[in-house]
Amino acid sequence: MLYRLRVTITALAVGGCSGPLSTLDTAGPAAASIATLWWAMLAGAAVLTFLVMTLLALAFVRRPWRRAGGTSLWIGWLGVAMPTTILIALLGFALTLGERIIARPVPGVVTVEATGHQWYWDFRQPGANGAIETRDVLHIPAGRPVDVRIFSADVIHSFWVPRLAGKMDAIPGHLNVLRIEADWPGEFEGRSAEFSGAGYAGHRFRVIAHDEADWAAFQLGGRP
Amino acid sequence: MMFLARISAGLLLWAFGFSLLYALHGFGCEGGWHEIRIAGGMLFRWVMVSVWVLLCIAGLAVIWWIRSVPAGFERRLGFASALVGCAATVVTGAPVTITSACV
Amino acid sequence: MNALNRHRALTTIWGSPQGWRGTATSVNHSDIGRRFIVAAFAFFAIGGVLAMLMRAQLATPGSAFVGPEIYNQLFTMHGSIMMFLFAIPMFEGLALYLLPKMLGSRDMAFPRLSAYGWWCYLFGGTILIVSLALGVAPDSGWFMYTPLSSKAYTPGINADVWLLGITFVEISAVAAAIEITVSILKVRAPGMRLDRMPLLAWYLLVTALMMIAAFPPLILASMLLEVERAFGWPFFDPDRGGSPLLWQHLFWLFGHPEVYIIFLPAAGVVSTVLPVMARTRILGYGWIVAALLALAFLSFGLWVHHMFTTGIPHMALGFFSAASALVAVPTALQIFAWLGTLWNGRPELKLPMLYLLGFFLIFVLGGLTGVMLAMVPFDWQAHDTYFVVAHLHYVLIGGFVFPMLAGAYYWLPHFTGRARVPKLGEAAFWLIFVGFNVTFFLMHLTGLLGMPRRIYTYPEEMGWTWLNLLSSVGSFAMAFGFALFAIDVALQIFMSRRSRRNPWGGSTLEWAMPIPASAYNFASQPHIEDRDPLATDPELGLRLARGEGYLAEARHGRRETMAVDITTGAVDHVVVLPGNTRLPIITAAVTGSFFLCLLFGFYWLALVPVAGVIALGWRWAWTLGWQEDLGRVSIRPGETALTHRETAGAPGWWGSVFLLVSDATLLGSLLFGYAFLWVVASNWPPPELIGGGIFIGLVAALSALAGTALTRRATSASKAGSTASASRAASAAMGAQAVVIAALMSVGITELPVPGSHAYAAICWTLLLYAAVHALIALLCAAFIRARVVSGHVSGTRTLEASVAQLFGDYAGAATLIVLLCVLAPAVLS
Ligand code: HEM
Ligand SMILES: [Cu+2]
Repeated sequence: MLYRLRVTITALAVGGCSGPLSTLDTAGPAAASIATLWWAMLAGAAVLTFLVMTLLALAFVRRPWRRAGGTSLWIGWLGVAMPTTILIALLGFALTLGERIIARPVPGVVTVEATGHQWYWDFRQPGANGAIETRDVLHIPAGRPVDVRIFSADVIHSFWVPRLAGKMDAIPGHLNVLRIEADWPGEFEGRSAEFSGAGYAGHRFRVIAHDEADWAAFQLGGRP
Repeated sequence: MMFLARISAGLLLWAFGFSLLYALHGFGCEGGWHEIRIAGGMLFRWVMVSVWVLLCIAGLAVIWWIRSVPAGFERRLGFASALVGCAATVVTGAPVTITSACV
Repeated sequence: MNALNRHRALTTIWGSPQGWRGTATSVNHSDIGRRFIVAAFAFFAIGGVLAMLMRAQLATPGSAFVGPEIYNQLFTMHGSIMMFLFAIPMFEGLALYLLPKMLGSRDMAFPRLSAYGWWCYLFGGTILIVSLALGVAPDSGWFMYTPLSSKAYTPGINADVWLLGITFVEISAVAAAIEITVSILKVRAPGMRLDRMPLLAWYLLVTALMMIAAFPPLILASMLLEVERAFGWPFFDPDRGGSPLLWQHLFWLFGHPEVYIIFLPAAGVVSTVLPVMARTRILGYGWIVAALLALAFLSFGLWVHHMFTTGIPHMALGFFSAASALVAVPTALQIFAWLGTLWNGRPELKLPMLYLLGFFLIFVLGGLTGVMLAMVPFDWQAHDTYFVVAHLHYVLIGGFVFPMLAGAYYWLPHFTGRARVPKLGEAAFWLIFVGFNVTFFLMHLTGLLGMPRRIYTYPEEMGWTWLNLLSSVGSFAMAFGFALFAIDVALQIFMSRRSRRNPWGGSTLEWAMPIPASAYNFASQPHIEDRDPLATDPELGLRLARGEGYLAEARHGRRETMAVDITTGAVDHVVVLPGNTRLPIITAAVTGSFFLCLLFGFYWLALVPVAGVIALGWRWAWTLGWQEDLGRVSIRPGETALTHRETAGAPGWWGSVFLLVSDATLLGSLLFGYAFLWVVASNWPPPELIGGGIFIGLVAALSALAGTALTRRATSASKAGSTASASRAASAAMGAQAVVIAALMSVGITELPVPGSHAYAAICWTLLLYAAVHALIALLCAAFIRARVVSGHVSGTRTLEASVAQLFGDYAGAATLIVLLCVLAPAVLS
């Protein structure tokens, strides 16, 4: 019974959380650790909301056991000590998690360039026979970290493939680097996530993650 | 004015320290301090951590100083804000120790 | 004098004429406050209609109800209206109406300034709404990121409407902030020590101080962007040494404090209403004040959390993430203080309490999602998605609208003198509460499923269809709720039975008067002995009406109210306030025509309204004051005090101080921009652009020092009563300032490249112009003092004007020196 319930809930949750741009239906290490952070924070938030709402409701029931408290209980402990502890723990957790996600130098990184335009993306990367340029489709190898060097040709855009990693802005005059990685081969939906004017709603692109053979073929210039 | 300054001395120090850390971070990354190695660590980290520690000590000093204000509402308020300021310096500056530089 | 006669006499002095004349000339804080509230609610309705249009468009995928051009205007205007024309003015209105009443005084410190602020707000808001009606409304989002909002990508008038209209409204916000600060610090009932002030006054004081520091960065940024659009000065253009990120920094340097500026007054309402509903006193008064101070400071260290995805290194993000997390602590402190208050009291589920319960649930959720967004990695995903839309409405509607609705029901009897119609309010509450949660709770999920904000349509296959449809349905339920609220209020105003005095049993001073309140608030001002004056002395209102307080005598047609020592609340002096006048509306109209000239590109013509404002400002100051000493006046049997022009530390002096503080933050923001570009942009400043100018710079610096010293000399001479030497020194000061202006301009002309060529030149020119404008102001102040000394308004005892002139003289000198230091630094260093 309990097992059935668990399976149904998981299915519901997974079903409800899937989608081409879902941040919870993860397919890369960065997105996965952020999703973990989210579920942990959600649980914490649920507990805290429950605590506050219970205290609030109890204020309206008149029972002999309910005693008034002074400032040290309400403010010192509940108002200051508890949130400070929770927040510092959360902060430390999030910062260390962030350290794992950022584009720190590691061996074996593939580098590609992405340039945001109103309203398309140009991608450029080294191939076996000179640079390969693609528009609105980014090819990457699966299972390897990829650094996307992000530029803008006009206004601010933001490079975002929610199932793989967080977003990073494309800012004219600045170079930003985002680390992405796909756990398995496949197609992943991406889009710009910074408002850029009239064509913004349709400012989308795709990321195709290749297995080793396809990747080799792609780099030779052949479209797999 | 003096009143406002006394009741917010600790917080003013935090504001100053916070801006200082952020500014040093900007200068440091721009000036390549993270590529200079000194005494087994990078110059950037040494600068950031030592400034942070100094700021924390200054925060403690403000707490100490506030005790000389005549007792009353003003001192209690000043004391609270000195505590908050010092704690805030400790917490908001803490990333200098664990996060990587200029990435 | 009996109570009725006193009432008549005071009403003649404090009231405003009937009809249009009264509308145009009234400077009474209750009138102005009410107008702010009504207008803000009207703007809320307009913003709400825009929201409904957006929800109608988003209800189904691929909808063709509006296109992107319209939709972009809808959300930009919705956001801008709600933030600038609804939330801020609503709290200003509440503050203007309530503050003097809660502080036991008769009006705000600068009544004409409130009126001026009101007209600026009305005219500026009208410009924005007209642009909406004409279909040329701003469409780059409420934070107007460059380069999208720059001339190249928004060639039309849309962005100018935003930059100029909002700046115009902002003037009113800064005016209100200065007014609120000084009123709270100085214009209270005698005996009201700082720690005896009602908590709401603390909240408003902190809010106002935050506004003084937070609005200048936005005003500056708007001016820079407008100059870039109009004249091509490239502050934000990366091709010419600028940076689009500078805009983001300046905007959010304002933008984050802004959300606390919106939340704090509402929290103040909670702290006021909740203890009354719980029939007890607030728990932890001192703790809450400390929390407010902490909030005020910390909230200035969070702005980069809106920029986590702009590529700033992780360590710097860490500072801001930590500060953003920490700021939750003082907020949590308040939540638990309120909970403790409820536990200590015997809460009743009256209508205001119902709204407060709604506030608790919604705001706690909004706060928790706020902490989530403060965590850098999570924000990398959630940023600019509907998760953020959900979060911001949970805090804005939960943290502002719900407490304000509670406050509305709590204070409406005060405004109308009537009791509420039963039942309707509860129905409205449930519609709003349920509708809100249906609309926005789902948006968290919509956002996590990847729906970005600000898209006008979305394809079916994304899986957002059902969520959006439900959100739209919920939003319409909520809209009905708000309509019902409006009907309920209208019924209460026009049809309901009269309410008794102090219907809720509140213990703050605004209930110590008959309702609706009379123009003068208190027939005589109380002496305050503790924090809950009405709890200790329920008959206080009657005693004051009988004239058993301060300033019970209505004399010489003067509007008099008491000013106190800031900390101790001891009697300081009597403030004589200006009466009704058309000056505010005329000055606001002229100010407005300045903005209109800029909007339509008549740049040379804009000099006419500038001259007009200067002339009106002169007149504004000229019409006050006396040519003879008033000496000590009686304030209570056996007690006398001086009037404000004959003492140090009058409200006008404090107002100037805070104005200059605000001005200094503007300069600070400009210097931040200078330093920012220097650090961030590469090859900045380009060596070939750096000139010399040390010599002319020295001339400017020396004459700035001379100008300051001469103004000081004029002040001290006038205080010593030697008219002739005072007016000589003032003339010399004017000459010195003129030299400063000439020297500053020649530094620019001879040593700097044309401002359009490079951001370095543009920002140096801006600095020089800043200094020159202040030298001009100092020049005008010196001229004014000279004229006033000659006309006999300034004397050895009547020193207020001279000390204000000295403030401006000192500031101009300091500003010029700082500016010269920065402008000439590259030349000295290279
Ligand atoms: C009356 C109920 C309201 C509804 C149904 C509503 C709905 C919305 C929606 C759907 C958006 C997102 C538009 C988009 O990104 O495409 C939005 C944005 C926004 N709303 Fe509201 N809103 C309401 C009330 C408020 C209030 C009371 C405030 C502030 C006090 C507010 C402030 C904002 C802001 C600042 C934005 C961001 C605008 C932008 O992205 O430029 N809203 N609102
Ligand atoms: Cu913020």
